[in-house]
Amino acid sequence: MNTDNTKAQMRKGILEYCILAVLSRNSCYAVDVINELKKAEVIVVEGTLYPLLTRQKNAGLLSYRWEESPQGPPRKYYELTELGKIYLNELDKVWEELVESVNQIRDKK
Amino acid sequence: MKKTIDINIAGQLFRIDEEAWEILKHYLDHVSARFRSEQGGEETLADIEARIAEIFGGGNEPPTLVSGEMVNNMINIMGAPEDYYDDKSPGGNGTTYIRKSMYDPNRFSARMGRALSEFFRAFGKVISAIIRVIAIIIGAAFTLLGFTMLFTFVLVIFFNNAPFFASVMEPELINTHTLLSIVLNSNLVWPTLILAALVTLIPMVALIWLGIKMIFNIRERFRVAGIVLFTVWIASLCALGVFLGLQLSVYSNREYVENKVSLDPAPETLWIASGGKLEEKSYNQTASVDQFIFYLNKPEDRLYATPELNIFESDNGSGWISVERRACGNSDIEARANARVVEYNWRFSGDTLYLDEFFSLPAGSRWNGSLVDIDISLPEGTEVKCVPGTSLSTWLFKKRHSEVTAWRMEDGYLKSMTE
Repeated sequence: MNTDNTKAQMRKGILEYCILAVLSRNSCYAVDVINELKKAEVIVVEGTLYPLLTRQKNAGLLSYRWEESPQGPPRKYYELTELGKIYLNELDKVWEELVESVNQIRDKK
Repeated sequence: MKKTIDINIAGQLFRIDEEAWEILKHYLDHVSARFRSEQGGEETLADIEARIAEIFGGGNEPPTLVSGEMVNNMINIMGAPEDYYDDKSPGGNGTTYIRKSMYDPNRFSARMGRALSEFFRAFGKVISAIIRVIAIIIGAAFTLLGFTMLFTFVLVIFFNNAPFFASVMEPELINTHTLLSIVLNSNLVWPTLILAALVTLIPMVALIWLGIKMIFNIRERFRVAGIVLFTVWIASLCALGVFLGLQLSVYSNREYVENKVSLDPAPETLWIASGGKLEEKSYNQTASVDQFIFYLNKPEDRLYATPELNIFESDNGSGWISVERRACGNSDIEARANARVVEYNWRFSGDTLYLDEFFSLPAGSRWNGSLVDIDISLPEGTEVKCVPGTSLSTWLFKKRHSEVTAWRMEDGYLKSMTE
């Protein structure tokens, strides 16, 4: 059994939640989000993030503004919408319930 | 030297070498195929391209040169297309992405597209290769021509010599330095030569640089250097024009002093003999314009030159000999004064005309368009003979038959007696 594959699938499952969690603190450029997720070892490559950001933006969870970049093209700075904040609260609860459930199962003697 | 291509990523211009472009294009094609069909896929692709542009360091002037190493590094950062997250099946595996791709390499349109793409790419490469070869040939010709001219002008202007080109160049061009030292104020010869060198050398250097750029396909533009050189060239051209204009203004007025002897009756035979001989004078430099020759004694600062001899038919039975000393000046008075200082000795004795082979200027005098014209008018039937050892060609005689020593005035013309 390959644990790496299972670990990757579990990380993918929580990735959308992690993105919203990072953006809940302040508005961020995609690379800032990537750096934080990389640091937490939730993602390995940057390409993973862009389709998710687009999808969350199209779902109304995120909005963005343009800012000029000192190097390269202008940057998109993402932030949570009101809907995104509500959705994140829901996910927080789900996550806590999930952790508790898993802990219960795991710790049951 | 690697071939480079200019590309646009997210509105940013990049220069990329051909091998790196192959890798990048392959990567972008796959990423594009991955997202093209999805809702919001275009926006995702735009975001990915913007990030790629940023990783490559876009916005630089001149454009950043993207290498294969940079492309591979970018792929390591961004991830392979199959690593991109599949938003519709977060629990799926990597193979899902390929199945959902709109790109089917086995479809007829895809195969046809690939074939056409390969054809135009190959055709483009052939055309590009032909253009490169033509550019190299033209560039080599420019460079060779530029270097040849540069080499010649440097030799002529600074060394008064062009050993390899003496046979094809006009003598007055090779004698530029000596000629200028005669025609101009001696203090102004070097400033004039330096200005002339700038005026001539800068276009040649530009020609050589253009040739080298064409040969090696160099696209960098050194705008500041170009503007500086062009400004120097224009300034040199103007300065040279003003310089020469002021110097040559001395030739604006021409006057002459004439000494004339009547030949009445004219002798049946006029003998012409050399008086003062040029070979008795010492000189260390010569310069010529057309057939007019200067002989310069630099240590004594004395200038010798050849008089001009003309022989005409007279209108009546008698004849005459006229020697005109000519010179130029800023005014008529100055021109006449300059003509008076021209030194030329001649005499007519019995039936023999003794002419010096040269005229001269006093030591330290400047040449002011100084010339000596010897005009002889003779009636019909008069014979003109050179004493042994003398030739009329010594005096810039219009009929240039140096071997002929006897002439006769017939039908208004001086004809060789051997004709």
